[in-house]
Amino acid sequence: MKTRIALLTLLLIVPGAASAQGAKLELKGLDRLAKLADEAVNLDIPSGMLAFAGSFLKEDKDQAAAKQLLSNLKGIYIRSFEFDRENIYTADDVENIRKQLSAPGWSKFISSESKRDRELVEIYSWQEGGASAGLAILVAEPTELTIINIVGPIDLSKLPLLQGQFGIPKLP
Amino acid sequence: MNIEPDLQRALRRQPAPPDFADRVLARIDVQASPASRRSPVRQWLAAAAAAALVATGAAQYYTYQQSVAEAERIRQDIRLALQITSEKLALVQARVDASLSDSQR
Amino acid sequence: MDRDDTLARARGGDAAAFASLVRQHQSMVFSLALHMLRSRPAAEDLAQEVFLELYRSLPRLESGAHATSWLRKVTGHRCIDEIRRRQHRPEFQVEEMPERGIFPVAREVFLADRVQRLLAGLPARARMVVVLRFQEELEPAEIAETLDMPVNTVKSHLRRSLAVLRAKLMPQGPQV
Repeated sequence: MKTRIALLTLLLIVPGAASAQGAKLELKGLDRLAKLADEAVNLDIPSGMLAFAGSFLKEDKDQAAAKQLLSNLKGIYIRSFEFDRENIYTADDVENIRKQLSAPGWSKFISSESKRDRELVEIYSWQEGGASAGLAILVAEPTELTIINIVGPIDLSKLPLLQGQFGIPKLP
Repeated sequence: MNIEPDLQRALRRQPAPPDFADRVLARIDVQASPASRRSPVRQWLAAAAAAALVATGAAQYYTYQQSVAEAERIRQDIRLALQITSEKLALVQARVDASLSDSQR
Repeated sequence: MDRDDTLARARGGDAAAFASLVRQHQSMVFSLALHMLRSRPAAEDLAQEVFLELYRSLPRLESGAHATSWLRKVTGHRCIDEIRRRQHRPEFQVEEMPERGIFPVAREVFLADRVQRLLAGLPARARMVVVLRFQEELEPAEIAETLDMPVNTVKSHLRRSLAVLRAKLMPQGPQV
């Protein structure tokens, strides 16, 4: 399978150009797909709910890492749809998201596209003051569309610290 | 292959937690008190005690239980969100690995 | 105690009667939720919500049998809604598959676990149809009424789901 991968350089943004809330994508336009999907996941977890859930974590070393990771986040938003056939979601659905991700502040640092398999995977980072303050993952396959939007600084290398917390299995 | 007996065994009813009914009743603030049926005075005392309980401990317990249940719901959402994120990151990793492998041939 | 009588007294405000009603049905409601959601805390939470709604709906229930079918219907719909709201992807369930054993009891535990994992791969409504068929031993017409679904759709879900489960449960390769 020929897959074109572009590992793009992470760009620094102009200081003061963006705020944390700019890292939050507008996903409501995809909500109509839930009715058409065989399986749909619709998660909106803003900072208040994250803090509330984090307050129930203990201070022991096992849960402290999870508590720290959660306390830094401002929101987790996911739309994920699985369809029983192709061509349910449209190119416009994908382009509306990519258009938001082309705004100042977002940088694409992983891009994988297979025209033959009609698959697209992209990861974007929202930068503030030279540091990551948000993440967006876009996965578009013929019968599946997933957008993951994490607002707030997240260090992907720290995700394994959540092993055993919230029932997270070993991460790849 | 007839899997129906296996499905029946796997899907047989499981007992609810031992104090499940008590927790339901606590949430709707219904107390079944046999003593309250003995005499009008006892009924009045039981009602007054129940009212006092409602005003203090039971209300707090109910609020606490609601908070615990709500936190558990959010916990499940966070769990799902992070599972989906890990899955998609694994997909990206696989693509990157495959591409690097292709380019080295 | 007669179930109709229990319901009538619960409707009249008898707390002990309502508690009895909960105990009569808690295993059914909890198990439906557990087999659908695959999480004891989530199942218990959903089951509690169902009984709270039962309490609020007591005036509308006419008999013990009506209460039972009402509970199945509400539990079924709530489970489907819950799954749709937050779909659990079976490949990321926390519980690891235990090592295969050679004793019948161990086989049954592993098989039950395997069935549960395979069921989790079915769409929500199809999963509920299978659970109602095999946990509650309902006929397709009863399942159709419980889930507000045409009978033919129920039969179709059963046929396809069993075919999928059968294919995945069939032994692969030489048996120990």
